[in-house]
Amino acid sequence: MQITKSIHRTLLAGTLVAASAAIALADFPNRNIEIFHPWGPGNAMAMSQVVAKAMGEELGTDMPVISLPGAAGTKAQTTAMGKPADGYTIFDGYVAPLVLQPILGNADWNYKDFKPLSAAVANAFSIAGQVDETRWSNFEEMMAYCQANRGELRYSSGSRNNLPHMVIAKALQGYDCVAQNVPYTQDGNVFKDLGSKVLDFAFINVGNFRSNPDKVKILMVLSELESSKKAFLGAPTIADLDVDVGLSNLGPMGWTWWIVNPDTPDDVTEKLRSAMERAMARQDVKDAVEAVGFVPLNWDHTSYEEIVGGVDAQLNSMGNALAWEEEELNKLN
Amino acid sequence: MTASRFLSVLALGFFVAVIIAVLWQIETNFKEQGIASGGPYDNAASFPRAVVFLIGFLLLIQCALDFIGTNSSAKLKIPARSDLMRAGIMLFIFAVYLSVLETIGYHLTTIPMIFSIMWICGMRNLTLLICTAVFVSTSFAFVFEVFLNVVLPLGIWTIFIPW
Amino acid sequence: MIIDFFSAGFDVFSSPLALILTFTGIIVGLVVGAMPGLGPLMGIILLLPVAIGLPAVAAMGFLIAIFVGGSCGGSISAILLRIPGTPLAAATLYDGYPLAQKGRASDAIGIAITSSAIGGLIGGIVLVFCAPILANFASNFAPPEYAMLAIMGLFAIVVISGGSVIKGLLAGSFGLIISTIGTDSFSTGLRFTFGSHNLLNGFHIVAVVVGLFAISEMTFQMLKRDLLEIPKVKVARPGLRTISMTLKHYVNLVRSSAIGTFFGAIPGAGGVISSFTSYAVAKASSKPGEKYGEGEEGGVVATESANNATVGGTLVPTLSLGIPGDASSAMLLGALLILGFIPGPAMFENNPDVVGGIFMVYLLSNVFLLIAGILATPLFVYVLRIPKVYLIPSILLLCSIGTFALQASVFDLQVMFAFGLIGLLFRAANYPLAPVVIGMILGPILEANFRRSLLISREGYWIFLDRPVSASLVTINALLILAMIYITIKRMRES
Repeated sequence: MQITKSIHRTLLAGTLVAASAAIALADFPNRNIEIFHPWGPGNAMAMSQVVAKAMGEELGTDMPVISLPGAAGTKAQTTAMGKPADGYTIFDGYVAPLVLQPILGNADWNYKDFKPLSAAVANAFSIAGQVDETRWSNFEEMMAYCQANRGELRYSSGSRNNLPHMVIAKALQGYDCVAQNVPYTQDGNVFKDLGSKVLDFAFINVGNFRSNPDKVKILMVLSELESSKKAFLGAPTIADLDVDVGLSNLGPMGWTWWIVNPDTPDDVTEKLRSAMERAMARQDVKDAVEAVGFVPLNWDHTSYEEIVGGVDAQLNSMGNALAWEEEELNKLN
Repeated sequence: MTASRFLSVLALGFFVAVIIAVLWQIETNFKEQGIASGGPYDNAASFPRAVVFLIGFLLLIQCALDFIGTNSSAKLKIPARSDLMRAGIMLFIFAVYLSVLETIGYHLTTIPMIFSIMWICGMRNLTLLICTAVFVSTSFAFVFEVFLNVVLPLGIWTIFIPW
Repeated sequence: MIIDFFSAGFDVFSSPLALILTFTGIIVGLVVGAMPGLGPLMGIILLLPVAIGLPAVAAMGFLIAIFVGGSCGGSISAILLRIPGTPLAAATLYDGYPLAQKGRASDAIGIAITSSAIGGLIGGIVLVFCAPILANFASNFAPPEYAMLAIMGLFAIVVISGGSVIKGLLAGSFGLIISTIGTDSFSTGLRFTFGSHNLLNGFHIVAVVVGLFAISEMTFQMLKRDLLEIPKVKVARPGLRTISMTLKHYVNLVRSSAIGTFFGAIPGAGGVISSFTSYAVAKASSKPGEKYGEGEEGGVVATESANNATVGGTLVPTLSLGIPGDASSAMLLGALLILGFIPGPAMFENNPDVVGGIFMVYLLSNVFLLIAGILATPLFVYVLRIPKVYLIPSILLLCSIGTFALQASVFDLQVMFAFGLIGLLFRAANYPLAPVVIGMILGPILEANFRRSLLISREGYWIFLDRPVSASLVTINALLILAMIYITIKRMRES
């Protein structure tokens, strides 16, 4: 039997490999480190792969990124934090699972429960309208129109109860404007339907905007950061509004902090931290991040409490905006 | 009851179970969450409810067809008891393998799984059994871990091959 | 204009690195496609870190070739083992496997590969010549149109199920119900999760497909008594013969490729819907004497040309609008951005070399697919000569690791096993399995776009008739229902 022969021939090789299997723990890291990413395949995942690749090079190992979408990112976070606390599992901690979902009562953790490695990237976003809109010419006029025609406008924040939804709802609440959010599963389709005038306004990220800057009109950039304003070609930001809608000093929000299980040994955490900091400081990483339209962040773990705590407090204070919107919509129906 | 009739009833029973599970969840869990009624924004029950009504309607037609007996599944050949046993044991071994994979790890579970399935297939040459099990298990691990960067289950003893 | 792209892109395209990587990509794609579990998307994700360190066109050539090869590879295991390597190949099973059972495995694989390559080339020609026009047309497809298209997709189940329409529809409805498990994106409520965080995003479609088809098939194989024997299969080299066999189906080929390109170009539809729809159309327009489902060459031609034409189609909105057509092209888009190019109308003006280079690597990868595929067919068919005692445990293991690799999740393996048992029951009771797959794909498209349409509409259901494209689709759906009723009554009278 031919197969029997070939199997006999590979016997030696097979047993040799098996015999060399290492059971004892050698120096960290001695195998691949997995990164759990809370969203489906797309730009954000490619972004994490860029950071993971650089960090893996710093550590001398491979760092595969695993996409595990579901329940606004909480599925991936639950899974990652359920793995052994040995530093071989990292979670790509976007604001939605890390801070927002606990505030909305959909997760039972607090951002303080985890050990941060370093901040990775942030994603700027804005509110955009149709390109040849005749009903208004800027954000405040749109809000006035919305107030006068309660419930008539249709917008999309991508998913329901996500970070952009919370911020948009807060802005609308400030103007007493009631509009219907239409959930979408793909940001690209939001952009497409805004471009083809199915939606009146929408949350738009930098990536989609830069591909087709003349298909939509940016009404307001949802950040006071200069880099965000630049990314949207100098469109007005919330700092330019006359009215305070409770979004002043809006922290940079669409970020991700890479975190590990709190029980991870300190020396392992330190190794991961310094590797990630070195990776984030690399010019090739910064270039790649900016090329995708994200903002590379250079906050190390010492600013975790300040940044994340700040956003936590701000989102907590916005807490009732989503409930307010639901209530007002129910009154209209 | 013939074997084919039994299988038809079993399949119909499966669909009935699906209908009951869906309606029961809508009446209990969906209502608790407040997603069993309302407009398209809040009503998560309308689509599953419509689908189970469709399933129910189709089931009635299928029952009628089965009753009339226009079904061609009467041609079903019933396998011998020993053949059924072999397939059943294979499924059992595979189920055990999948349930202990995470705890015991890839290497310690895969070799016995391949060994035992080959054994129940009728292979009795011990050397060949062991060699094949070790070779298949290790070479697949090599391809997935080295080329595709997959981390296979390590088990509680963290067993892996540092390629 | 087109010539400009090609001349600008020729230099970057014709570098040895780009050519070698495109060829490597095809091989990788064929392998990940043929393995149950992994598919083109996983291939792209796993190798993206390698690609982003390379020159742009070479990197894109590598990834696009994986997409092309992976979209075809699933048919190989479908034909040889009755296990679709990817959900894309679920409809190829209908005629591919019976063809192989008739002793024509090499022919079937040759036809699958040739159809894929030609379908891909037709998709590519559309991409090259009509990308901006088609992209603008596709961007007029809004939620009402998607909802109506999804309903039309359900009719495909009726056509492909042949004699057992009710059973096919039951299986399809089961797929629809499974697709609702997990977090509802509208209400954010949890449906049928029974408190398990593993179910928050429902079942992974690949785990379901591998379970339904592979586990049930391996169990059926265990019932046989030839487990230790070396099967006597004649391995014929397919060669140029299969190309001419495929070309005989030129009407089917062009029609299925057109359907595939169309579904690729409207973001969110994808290859599974195009292969099922093309198969249904091919079957509905078959000549008397052609027995679809029993090993008809046309069945393989329809599904395989369609799902590879879809690749070309998905690149249309991806490159010309920056809106990915499906998950695989979303990763390609990410890679392109990392490499420093922003897809969209501006890229066509500012970087004609990259656009031209991508066009050429895409076309070339389809040519390489044909060459590599035909050369490797005897190797694939060799699988049929492995005694089952080796094959069965190896395939079970491959299914397990391939499914595990998707999300590093043991839960997915349990799902795979459970669906293996359901697959066994379905097959034993003569229920077709493929409609479960199409139901699972169409479910979210139908439900989400229906609810989205109603949210967007200010006049309730009228939104479906107010928009011209949607209204035409409503009319077509209504006519299809009437035709179904008419045919059923006619058949009942005849019998």
